[in-house]
Amino acid sequence: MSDNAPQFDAIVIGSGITGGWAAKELTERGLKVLMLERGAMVEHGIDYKTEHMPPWEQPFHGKPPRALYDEQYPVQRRCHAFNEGTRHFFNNDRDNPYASDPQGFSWIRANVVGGRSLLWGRQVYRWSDLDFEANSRDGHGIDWPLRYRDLAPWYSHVEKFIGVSGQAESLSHLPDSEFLPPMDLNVVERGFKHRIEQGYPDRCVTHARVAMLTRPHNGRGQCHYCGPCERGCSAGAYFSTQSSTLPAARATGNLTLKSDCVVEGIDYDPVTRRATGVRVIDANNRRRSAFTARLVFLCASTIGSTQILLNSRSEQFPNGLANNSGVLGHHLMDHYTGINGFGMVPGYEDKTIYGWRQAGLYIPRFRNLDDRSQSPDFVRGYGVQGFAFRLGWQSMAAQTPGFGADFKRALRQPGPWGIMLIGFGECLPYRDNRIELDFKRPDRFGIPQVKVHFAWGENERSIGADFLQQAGTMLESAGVQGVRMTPNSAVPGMGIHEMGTARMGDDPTESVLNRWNQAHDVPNLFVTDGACMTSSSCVNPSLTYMALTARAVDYAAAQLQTGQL
Amino acid sequence: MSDQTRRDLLRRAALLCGSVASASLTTRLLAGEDPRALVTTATFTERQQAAVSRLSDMVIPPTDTPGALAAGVPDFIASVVGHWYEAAERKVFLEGLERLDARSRERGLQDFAAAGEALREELLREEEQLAISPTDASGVAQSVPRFFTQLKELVVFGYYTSEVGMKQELAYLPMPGYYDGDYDLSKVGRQFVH
Ligand SMILES: Cc1cc2nc3c(=O)[nH]c(=O)nc-3n(C[C@H](O)[C@H](O)[C@H](O)COP(=O)(O)OP(=O)(O)OC[C@H]3O[C@@H](n4cnc5c(N)ncnc54)[C@H](O)[C@@H]3O)c2cc1C
Repeated sequence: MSDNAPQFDAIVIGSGITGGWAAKELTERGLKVLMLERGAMVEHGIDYKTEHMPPWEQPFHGKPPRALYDEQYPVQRRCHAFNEGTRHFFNNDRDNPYASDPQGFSWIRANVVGGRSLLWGRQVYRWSDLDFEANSRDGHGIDWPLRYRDLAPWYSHVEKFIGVSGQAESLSHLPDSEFLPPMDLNVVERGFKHRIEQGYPDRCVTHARVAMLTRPHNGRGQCHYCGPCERGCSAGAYFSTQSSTLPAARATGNLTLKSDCVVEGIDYDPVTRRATGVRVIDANNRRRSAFTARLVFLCASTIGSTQILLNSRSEQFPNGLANNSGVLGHHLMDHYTGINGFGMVPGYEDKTIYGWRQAGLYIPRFRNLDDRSQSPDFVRGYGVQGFAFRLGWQSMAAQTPGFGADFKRALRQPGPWGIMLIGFGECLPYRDNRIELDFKRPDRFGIPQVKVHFAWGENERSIGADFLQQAGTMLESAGVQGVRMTPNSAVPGMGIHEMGTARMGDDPTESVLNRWNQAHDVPNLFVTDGACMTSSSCVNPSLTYMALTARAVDYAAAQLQTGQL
Repeated sequence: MSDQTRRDLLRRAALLCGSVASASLTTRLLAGEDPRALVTTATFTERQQAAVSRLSDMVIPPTDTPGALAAGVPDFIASVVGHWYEAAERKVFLEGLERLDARSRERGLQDFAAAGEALREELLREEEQLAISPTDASGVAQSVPRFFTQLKELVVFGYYTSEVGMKQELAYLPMPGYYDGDYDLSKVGRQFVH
């Protein structure tokens, strides 16, 4: 090996959902891979310190230390999965700050090996051409450089590996996955499904589609319904880097994983017009070093990846690597969510729920599918997640006055049934919703902080209003009582589906990446996380990121083999 | 220190009721500090401790299952009031205990904990009435919940997250193994918890 030979075939930046997939697919093709992760190591099982820990063993029985949250986790604390059982996986906001407009953008992120794959809600839905053609149909944003048929085999490839439980419905706008048996709906959800499908022949209520195992799969155990998945699952019943892609990549013998390793920038050689490697900072001792490789896969999450590109400036790319188009950082999207409907379901008092299932029901998009479902007020649409449950002692205690034996008796039984519907609206790609770097404000590593500008548009608000109206009517028509809808306001970022900022497209003058997630300007650089997204659909995006990653690796490895790269 | 010993020590520290001033016990523990170093003065005086024990069992008494006292709730309250509460909250709680003692002495000549059952009931009902109104005597809105609200929350939370409360009063289900969303309530007769 000559002195100039790169140290690795490929460097993967980030070890979350997409980084894990990139590492697995690259190593399985025989490539020597270095995976770099800014966060600390979390080993499967061993480091799930709070798994199965009962409340009485936790400090203050798990009550959140509020002063600590105020001081160090003001953003992360907004996330429903953030608590004393999971805090050690999350980013510390005081140590890793960013800025945003006054209306605020919540950047919810992990800071460990595995990234948000440890914390995510695991809902997975395929996109369809309703999504891939949306931009070209209504003129918002640029056209996607690919269609459903290009991605379909890669969805299958990913699903067979991760294991997706769900119910086939043969809907053209929400294609079925390769399914394991679905997680059951409970008795109240079944009743709701029946009434909605009777009252609205054009709407479908199906089982949430989730990357959780309802039977053993690829050496991983099935779900035992213990409840708090986000603490980590040593059975490997849900898809995470640790349970799935990391062991596969390690098994090849081709993976080197470095944790506590913050990527500062990507180096570029103007002569070969290639990325040559990456510059890193040791998170513990701040020492700088560099690694070289023939390929770079950027999988540091939407904002994280674009931060690295914007910070990789050179004479050729004064505004950020691979940014000849000038669109890098622009068209940030998230889902319009936090809009809910809730009410009480009469009856079913003799029934309860055995087991803690982190799934529920899903109502696929029913707006703007055809002439009949066309809305005059907005383009695109929304999907609805929901679940029914019996109120527990917390809610009952708040509603039950007094104290003593009667009070205690009233709390022993489960409370009445409630049902919750949560809307997820598609967000249009707006040029002004963007991230930039504040070069005057470096973080503790000397890396310029991210600054986020984000505001919802009229279309998102109209989608929210329609959801609130439709969901309210659906709940009432299903016999739900005391229906309460939240105000029509979504907090930017809280969809935790941030995407865009390095979009794909066929035209290099208006996009950063081509149809293979390859940078137009730097052929051996691939960005396969949410940054690549050209539009946002209304379904959860991570399955699509995985499929795009696997497809991009297949392409890159072939290019490498044939000497094109 | 292994995690298990650390947890045990932490529990013991909580039982011994550590320093009232500690701003963020959890932070210090997570930084690796020995929990024993945090134990200085007790949260409650003996008199206050006696009142808290009485109050715990008044909110959740022993019935066919143990009550809050047997579940260790007074210790939980001491640790929350001592280490988790902010100063303003602690003040409201301790003043509530003082008020109960003072009123009890006015009417029954004894501290609250030593008063007869009927008087204690009456006094606690008065506290409940006070807590219903969102303003104080001078009409000022309260930022900190009233004593009765605090007490009830502490006892309820402490009890239903305690080993006794979860395993004996409710149906503790840490490892269901499967999911049945159409389960006959009569088979268990109480709510499942985890
Ligand atoms: C509570 C919660 C629920 C969610 N539910 C769902 C859901 O149901 N369905 C769904 O599709 N999505 C869901 N998501 C979103 C999902 O987690 C993300 O879309 C997904 O993890 C993105 O994958 P990624 O690889 O791009 O990023 P991540 O998984 O976030 O991984 C990125 C990794 O890169 C590392 N990194 C960042 N910058 C650097 C750097 N400079 N140097 C080195 N390493 C770096 C990070 O530390 C991180 O580990 C949820 C997220 C959360 C938090």
